[in-house]
Amino acid sequence: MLLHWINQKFLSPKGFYTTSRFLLPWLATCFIACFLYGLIDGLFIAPADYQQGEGFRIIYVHVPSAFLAMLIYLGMAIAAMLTLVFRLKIAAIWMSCSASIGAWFTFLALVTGSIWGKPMWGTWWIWDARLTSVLILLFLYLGFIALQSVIANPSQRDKAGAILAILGVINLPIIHYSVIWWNTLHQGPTISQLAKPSIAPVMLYPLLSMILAFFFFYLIILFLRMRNQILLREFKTQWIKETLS
Amino acid sequence: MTLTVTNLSFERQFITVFSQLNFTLAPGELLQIRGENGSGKSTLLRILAGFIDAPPSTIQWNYQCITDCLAEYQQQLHYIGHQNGIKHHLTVYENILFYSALGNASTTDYSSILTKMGIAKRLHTPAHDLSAGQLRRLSLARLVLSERPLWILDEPLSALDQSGQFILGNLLNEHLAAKGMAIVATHHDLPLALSSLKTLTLERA
Amino acid sequence: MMIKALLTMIHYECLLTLRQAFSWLTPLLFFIMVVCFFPLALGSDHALLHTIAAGIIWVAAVLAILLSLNNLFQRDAQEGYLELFLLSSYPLTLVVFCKVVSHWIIYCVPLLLLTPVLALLLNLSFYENFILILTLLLGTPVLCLLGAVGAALTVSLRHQSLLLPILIMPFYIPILIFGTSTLVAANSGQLLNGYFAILAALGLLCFAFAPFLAALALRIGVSQ
Repeated sequence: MLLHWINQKFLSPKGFYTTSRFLLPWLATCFIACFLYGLIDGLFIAPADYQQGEGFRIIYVHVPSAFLAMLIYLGMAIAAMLTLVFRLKIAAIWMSCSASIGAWFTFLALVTGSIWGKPMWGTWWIWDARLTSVLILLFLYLGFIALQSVIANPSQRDKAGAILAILGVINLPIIHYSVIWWNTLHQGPTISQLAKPSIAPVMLYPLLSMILAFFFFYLIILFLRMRNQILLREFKTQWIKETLS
Repeated sequence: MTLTVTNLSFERQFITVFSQLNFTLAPGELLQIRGENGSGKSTLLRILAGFIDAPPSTIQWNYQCITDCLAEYQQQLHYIGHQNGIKHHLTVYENILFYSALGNASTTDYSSILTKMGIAKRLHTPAHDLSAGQLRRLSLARLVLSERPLWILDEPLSALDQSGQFILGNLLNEHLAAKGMAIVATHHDLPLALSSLKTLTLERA
Repeated sequence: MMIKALLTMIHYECLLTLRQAFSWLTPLLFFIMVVCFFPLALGSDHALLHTIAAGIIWVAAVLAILLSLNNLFQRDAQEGYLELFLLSSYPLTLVVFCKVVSHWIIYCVPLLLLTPVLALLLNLSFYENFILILTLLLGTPVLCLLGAVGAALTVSLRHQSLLLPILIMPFYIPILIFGTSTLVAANSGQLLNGYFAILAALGLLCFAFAPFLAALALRIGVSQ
């Protein structure tokens, strides 16, 4: 019974279209609430870091975007498995629409990481493990987007993208740990620049709030794009014609 | 061994290629698919061969949906499409050996098969030196090399001269007499001895 | 019976590539030229070249293999042989594996044989040369296997030669890192068992996953 309800409300294109319309205002409210709290608390109320001064506040953008970049790719991989195993169209649409959002978050993480690095390390870029991993994640996203953009047939595009996403998620831990290991190998046993002491709660709560805010933002943009895709893919069906008229 | 097709529809890029096709094929029967260019004959044959995914429960082999048993189903059929499936840089003999390895066929009597197809004298010619008609005969040779009940042929008479068409007619007759089945897309009249010929005409969308 | 059939397939795949000498020799020539480009670009300081030699040869090998991967399924797609692979009596995964094996034999074995000569150009000692060849021996099958997945995904696309490197290069990073750092470790006298174990483990992982994923991708490519 539960499965049937989920199927009707979320998994069918028509159900998702209706449900997302209902959910979007709620998501927007949550997003605004978390974003305002995180921004105001993080930028104005939280005290300056004793080591990095005011510059540390960029973590309120950098960490959420890096976190989201990883989360979106994992979401894409799960959607890819659902596409291949259960042939769910909505999972394929989820996967395709997430890709460019994830790429932008990855790019944002790189740029903010770079901006953060300039006052901290003196250079715009440093080949440390985390930044390099995020750069490789950007390449994975861009490769996925490139593959999807060249295939015209929708079902072919979905399945090919799904295979690439699954290959990516299998390789991602291997790539991540090999890059960490590569970094320790070539930098020697110096203290890692990113070795953070545990973060104080007064700085942590706005950070968590910003992560949530970014997540709601991702869902809003994702749902909007998915609704567009559903219209594009299903425009010949009866319910679309009824909805649009 | 029956092939049952129920309410098969297919659309590509929002254009309906064909809709609501129904037919049954029993041993000893041949289905001829007619239609103009662009009416979806090749697409239909590729769907029947399992290369393109069909909607579930539309195609059944021995009353079992082919999506459930795709690998076993595909090992029961031969498909010859517009491309010949011949390696151009191998000789005729090597092509036979390669195909036999792939299709688990025995190659002990390949010379009689090639004589039947009329290309026995070209045994050690590289395939890129053969004419289009000879290539077509070589590709048809694999119908005899490994025995499979269902033949799916897309315009097999193209590039064949009169004697080639005669040879194909004989092959089909023998196959149907031995309780085999065939689906052939062609606008020619097939030189068949049997009267158990079904026709399906596809309309252009 | 099955082993004989597989060996026959590998034999004829190798024969086919050998008969088209251009497709076989070009990646090899590309490999040599890329290796020669680095001293030209970076200067011929012996000490510098000695330090970066492993990296140069590995990167050149990766690029040459990427170039050669375009040929893996292209001819089969043009000649209508992909359909025959799907209809064969053997699982598609096995057929893909045979193709990758023959691809490795034809493209990577000459590469391995040329590596000592090129390593001489880059001022590597005999021992370092030996270690480098061992890492390439373990690494090139991984490159071929992962590349097969990329080649299968792009087999029916017009821009295959451009898209394939972009898709597959991120996945080459672990094997590249571990392959090159083995030589660095060898130079500093460390035990190499761990490095070879990791390379072998990556190879086994690819052997388990890659043919299956490539077969899946080929099915998509056939469904035009």
